[in-house]
Amino acid sequence: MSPDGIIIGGGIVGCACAYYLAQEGITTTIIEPGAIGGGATAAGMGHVVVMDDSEAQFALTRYSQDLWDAVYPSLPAACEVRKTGTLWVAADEEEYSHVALKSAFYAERGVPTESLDEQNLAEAEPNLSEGLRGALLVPNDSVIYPMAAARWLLDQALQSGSTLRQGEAATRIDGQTVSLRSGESIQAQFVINAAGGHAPALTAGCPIEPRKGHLIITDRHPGFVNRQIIELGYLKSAHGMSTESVAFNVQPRATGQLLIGSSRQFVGWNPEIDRNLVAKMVARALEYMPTLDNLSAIRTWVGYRAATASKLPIIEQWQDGTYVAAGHEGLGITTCMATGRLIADMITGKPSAIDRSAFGAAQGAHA
Amino acid sequence: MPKLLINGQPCEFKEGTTVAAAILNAGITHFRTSAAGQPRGPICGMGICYECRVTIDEVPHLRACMFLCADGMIVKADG
Amino acid sequence: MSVDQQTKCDVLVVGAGHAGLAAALAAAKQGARVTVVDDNPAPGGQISRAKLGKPERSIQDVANQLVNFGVEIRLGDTVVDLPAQGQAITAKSCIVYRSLILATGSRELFLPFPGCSLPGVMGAGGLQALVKSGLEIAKKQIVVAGSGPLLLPVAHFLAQCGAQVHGPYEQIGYKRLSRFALTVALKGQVGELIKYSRTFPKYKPKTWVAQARGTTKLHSVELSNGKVIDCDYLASSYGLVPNNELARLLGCELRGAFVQVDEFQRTSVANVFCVGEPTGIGGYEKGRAEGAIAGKVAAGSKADLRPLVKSVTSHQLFATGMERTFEIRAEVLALAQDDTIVCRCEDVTYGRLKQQPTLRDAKLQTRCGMGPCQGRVCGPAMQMCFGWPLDTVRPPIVPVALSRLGACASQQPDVTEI
Repeated sequence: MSPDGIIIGGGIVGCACAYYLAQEGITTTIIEPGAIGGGATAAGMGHVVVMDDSEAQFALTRYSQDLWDAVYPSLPAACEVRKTGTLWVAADEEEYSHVALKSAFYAERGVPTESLDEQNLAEAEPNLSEGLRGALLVPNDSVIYPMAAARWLLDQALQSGSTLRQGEAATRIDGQTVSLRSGESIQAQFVINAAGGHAPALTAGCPIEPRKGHLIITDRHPGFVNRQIIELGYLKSAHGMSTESVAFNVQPRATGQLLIGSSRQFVGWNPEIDRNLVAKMVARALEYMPTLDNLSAIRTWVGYRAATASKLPIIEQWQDGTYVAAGHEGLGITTCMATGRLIADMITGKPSAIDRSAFGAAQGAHA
Repeated sequence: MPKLLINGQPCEFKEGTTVAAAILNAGITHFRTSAAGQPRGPICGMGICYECRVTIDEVPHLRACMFLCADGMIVKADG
Repeated sequence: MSVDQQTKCDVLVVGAGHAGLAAALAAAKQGARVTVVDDNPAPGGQISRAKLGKPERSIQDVANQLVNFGVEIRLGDTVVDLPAQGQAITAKSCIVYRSLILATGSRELFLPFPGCSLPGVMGAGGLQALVKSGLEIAKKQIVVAGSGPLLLPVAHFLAQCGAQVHGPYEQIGYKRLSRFALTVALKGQVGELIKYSRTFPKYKPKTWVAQARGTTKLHSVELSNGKVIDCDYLASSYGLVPNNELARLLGCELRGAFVQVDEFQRTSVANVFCVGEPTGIGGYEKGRAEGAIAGKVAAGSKADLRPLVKSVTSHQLFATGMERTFEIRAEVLALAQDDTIVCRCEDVTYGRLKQQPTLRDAKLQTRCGMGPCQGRVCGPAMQMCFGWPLDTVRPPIVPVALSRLGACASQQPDVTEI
């Protein structure tokens, strides 16, 4: 039985697309050359977070978080769902004034938050260094194990009749035909390009660049950190387009390990650990949390975020008819659910719960 | 003879004995508890398996086979 | 947190076993400034591990000579990264060097079998190392089993320490075992055979451990022939695998799991040499000969190396022969049951792993190989049981304090091609 559609990319975005299409009774073939969730998904922190960089980004992240919340009760233990919340940390008075602005922004939109002053913060997270001015807690943010979640989303689709072609790679899209590296061609009623940083190789003009990041994971220290802790400067790092930046970001995992980031650089697909940048990332982390140095780093790795200049993902039907679902930068885990839902809406001709036009080139969202 | 404390018990040791050897000599085989709750002890004796991890003088996750016993040392194994 | 100390040397030797010490001495004799790094509290590596802190005589002799030459031996330290040519980051320091000699030795091959994760089940070399480090085993019941030339000296040693030794139970058959004995004799190691003459007849070929039994710790072992032996320890390993992590980090070419080297012990990476077990499991004599070559060449001389090169060639042949002789049989590779632990750090069972299509899927879905041992225990087992290839190596190559990552980032080494 031939599938209704083809999804290129078995990362969490591709898997979410397959999941939502399956819910609409639409089958797909998912093409993935490597491991399921083996690309940027595996290099993600698994943070499901609302963001306020723009109205569109807020709408997408909040909608997607609601969709995750609805599906959490169905997820198996391997997905390690935890409502850790996020602590946005202000180092000084200037950053603390941003806390007030964020707090107001979220309050207006019905996202619960709590402001912490210096003392509250020290009590909430004793391992943070002294003298930090305060923080904004967003308690509904959560953390998951992304690869297991991607696998679960895929498995739901497979159980509904979709198929997986693992170990194969798409080399070309011609309308409704996808050519594979093996020489074979497959056809379907629609094609979705969910190939992340590799999307431009298949869809000409797709404005996505790989943005490399480093991560470090430690040995197990349950209770060392309670919430996902991010410095407010992270927003400058993520949303600026400088060639290289670091920002403190630490996540407690269900295993008790700490996941430490973050770094951003535009150096193409370079798999080497950049020791100089890692040194800066570590130095930044130790500024905020000096006791981290009592822990052992057991692994480091890199990943490539699919970055767009607009800082918004591309979720739209391209000129050639392909549906593009790529370019999620550091928010792929958060926004994959909304992405999948929007793609399914587009393909079935349904209206969406949020404004889709912000994620399309037509509105000038993509330079 | 020098002594170290293992799970509160004073244990004599010969100079040059590692903490791992001292723990086993004390009759304790459960060094650490695995992710799924199983008791574990050393297998490689050379510092690569990380199964012999114990807390030494309040520092956790130390490989007992790579540390020499010292007089007054306080060792906590899970067993 | 330690302050960065920077050391400059001509030759950095990683590992203070027989091969590393031989390399350090050969380089020092040529006038090179040499630094040796080893993570143990005393030199000697595994085979000649110090007993209660006292190094074996042959090791102490070399160590004394090294001190006379002003060689620095840094014990209790370990190389965690080689960030750029001529630079090493250790747990405690930053070292800048011209030539690097990897003498990182080998470790035991642990294959999964029912009960293998019970306390009391150890490597053969592992138990020996613990005994040398003070473990008292007089009158203890110990089963020695698995495969490989190591079982014989371990069984002998444990018996000498007063244990009641059962075995060695060797999984290869009579024919192969006889071939092993003959090769050892032909190699001129009749002395070894005589030394172990009492232990050799105790070999039980074509036998292996089917199951280790116990609840919170080992209490008995069931053999493949049905026999059950009550015991305090099981000393079991299926051979040795090279510690090739640093070589792989540098991108050195491999042949199988071993580091490819030329007759001067040079790897495919400029100014990087490899000696001892990582080039072939051939014992300490091979290591010493290779070390002597590499040390001399690293210090700038290629004179009078022919006899050493010849001896290395014959040791390498012996190593390859032993690899073939002690091949692991299919029944042993199939011992694991669904609930047998393969990845000990993350408690991943054989049953969960066998469902995974590739190593990467396995790692991402189960976390196997992603714990502190960094796949050193489960990696070779998964390779043999599932045919999965080795993964890429990234720093740190051993768990280390966060601040050591990217430490020494501002070093500017002076590197000369040899």
